[in-house]
Amino acid sequence: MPRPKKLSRKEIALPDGRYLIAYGHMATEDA
Amino acid sequence: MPELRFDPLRKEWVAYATERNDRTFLPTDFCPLCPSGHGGASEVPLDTFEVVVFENRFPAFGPDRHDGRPVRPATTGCEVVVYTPEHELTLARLPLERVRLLVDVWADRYRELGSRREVGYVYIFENKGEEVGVTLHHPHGQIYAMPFIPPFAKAELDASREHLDRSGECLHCAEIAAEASGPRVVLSDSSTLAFVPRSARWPYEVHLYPRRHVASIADLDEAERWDLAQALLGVTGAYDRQFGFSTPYVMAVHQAPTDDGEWPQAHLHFEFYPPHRRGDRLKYLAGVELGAGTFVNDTRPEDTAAQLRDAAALQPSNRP
Repeated sequence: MPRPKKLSRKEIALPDGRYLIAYGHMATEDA
Repeated sequence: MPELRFDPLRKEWVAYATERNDRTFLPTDFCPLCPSGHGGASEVPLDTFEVVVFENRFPAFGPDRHDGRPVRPATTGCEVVVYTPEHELTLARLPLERVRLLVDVWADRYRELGSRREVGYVYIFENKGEEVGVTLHHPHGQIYAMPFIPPFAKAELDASREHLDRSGECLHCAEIAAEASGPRVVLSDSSTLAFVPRSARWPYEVHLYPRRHVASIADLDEAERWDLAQALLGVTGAYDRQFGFSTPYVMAVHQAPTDDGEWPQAHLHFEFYPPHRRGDRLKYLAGVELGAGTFVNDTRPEDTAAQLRDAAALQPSNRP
């Protein structure tokens, strides 16, 4: 079974007020 | 600004978004979806990223600014999902880990957008290739947070509900069981199944399902998410190998609505509609399809499935 992934997200406001969300997977340690 | 009008003859909503007519169209010297660094001019002012989601600058559904107008307000929104900072890649050529992240991102957007009171359906899709009208080549998909359940999804949900009420069984689960060992399978593993549907509209149409009855992408467990990521690479890679070029398609994700209803009949699946009927010919929607609503398919699903199955068999598995 692959290691579970945990989602990371960082939200920023664009200059015109729209949002942008940068997603990634957090590093996880081997079980 | 966006608005919706209801057609009483067809009983369907039509979205109007006149600003989209002037949206960026196949730029050659600048990509709005490439990272441009802090303060940069693109839509992604970051040095780099893995997957980003942002509000579409040219939404088909957007904030309601029509107080008092006799139109249903388009109070929801549209997002762009950029799969990678690498401009030349495609979904089919992404690393498995990136597709796995994409599955998680779709699940997160489904939950978040679907939690908005006014959003009835979170529609995730990808248009790939100029043949299906794409205006930016950088690998990306889109999400429409719609204030109603779109007609194709509604028709499937209604049919599946009738079947459920009559037989106690999900119609999609029945289709999976019927197709699983049949001549239209494209690829299969422990938790996913992809096949050309028995009554495919498009010559190389493929439906990709999680075998387990899950209503939405957010309901997939860890192993199923890996399998789905691998299967997405398998289907899109099979297209590229079958045709010998980066194959255009529309990818549509059908899942449970996010209104206040109960949807026990909903079963998550991905539908792919490539416009090619052979490598050098496109299938066009014309008089019979557009005027009568009946698709004419020049191929047999069993034959195209066999071709895609052979192409899918060449897909390397790179699961961790």
